[in-house]
Amino acid sequence: MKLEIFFSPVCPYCPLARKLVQDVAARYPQVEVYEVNTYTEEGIERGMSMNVMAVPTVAINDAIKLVGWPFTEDDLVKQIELSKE
Amino acid sequence: MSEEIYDVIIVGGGPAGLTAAIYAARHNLKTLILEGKKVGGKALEAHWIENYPGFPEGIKGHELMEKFISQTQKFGAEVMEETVIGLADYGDLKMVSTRKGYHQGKSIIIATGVNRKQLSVPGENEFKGRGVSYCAVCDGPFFKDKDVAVIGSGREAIHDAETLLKTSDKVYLIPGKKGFSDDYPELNRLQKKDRLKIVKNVNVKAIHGSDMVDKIELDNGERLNVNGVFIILEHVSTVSILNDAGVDTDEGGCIIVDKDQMTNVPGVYAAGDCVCRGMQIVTATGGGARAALSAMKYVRSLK
Repeated sequence: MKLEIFFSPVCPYCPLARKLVQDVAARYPQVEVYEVNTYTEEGIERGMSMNVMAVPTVAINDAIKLVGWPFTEDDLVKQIELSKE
Repeated sequence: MSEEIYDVIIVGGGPAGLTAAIYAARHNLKTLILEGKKVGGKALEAHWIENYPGFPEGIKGHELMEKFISQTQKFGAEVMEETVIGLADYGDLKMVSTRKGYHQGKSIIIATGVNRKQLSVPGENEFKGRGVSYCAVCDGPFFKDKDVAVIGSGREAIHDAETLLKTSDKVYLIPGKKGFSDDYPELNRLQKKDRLKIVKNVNVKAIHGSDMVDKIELDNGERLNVNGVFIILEHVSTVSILNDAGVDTDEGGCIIVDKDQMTNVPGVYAAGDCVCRGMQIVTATGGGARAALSAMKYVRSLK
């Protein structure tokens, strides 16, 4: 399962979102986390190709699941569980 | 009605309020914290805090706040879960009204934080994250070469419009019918930019789109084709209460304090995000401590 977290280095909530994603993903061996920095050319291109328009955004298997902060551990777990089905 | 007279009443139980309580109660001031939501404040939501001194490995927001709360209780500060709805200054005595009654104090420390204000127009919630943003520096790159609108009347909105001009195509800056909140010198510079248009004397009525934002509707009937709408409005949640008590705020609703955290009303202090300085837990705690020390000096001067 591919989980992307779109972040920007200037977004005040992104460190919290990245940390939460890493912590939760560590419990799921099948989840591979990709951190996408939208302040890089490749990052913004990847985001725009998926219609990401805000950070932090979590996408699982190329589909946007969570947009903006806050989202909770439960929100994230729910999205991972749903994507497993 | 409570007959009890507190030395210090602290309005708000976030990092600034709790630190003020630790300092005040430790110095044997009769201290009351009033918190309408959850004691610990927004810091409770922080999943991980890496920059608070003393925790080199980092700490969860709720764990840090639990330590603040237990330290506050250790020194004997009272905590009441009550929402403050009014504040009145009767000279040496201040009165704080809540939904349950009122409390009397010799000094007040306001530590209520800030809320990001919504525009509250149709389409705002629907398109959140799909064109509606509250952070230009965060989300601006997604609107490269697109037309955007910035809605806000303060300095932050002006700066964000300038930031967006670096990447977006056309930028509309819409201060609303009341106009800009001050005579900002930055506006002279911005008005010379070809791709920026300041749209005056109108309010935004609605945000429209299909999958994403494609236009905004103004209350003069005009429609502007934009893909991004940046809502840059901030306010201190207690601003109307403060104004009733004669506490001065700036154009953004931030409480104006001096170096001792004192407002223009003797005996009334403020600290934390509501004074709009730093917006960090560590700056809030510093302000809270300063406010408590100042309040203590003030209370002792009354005796």
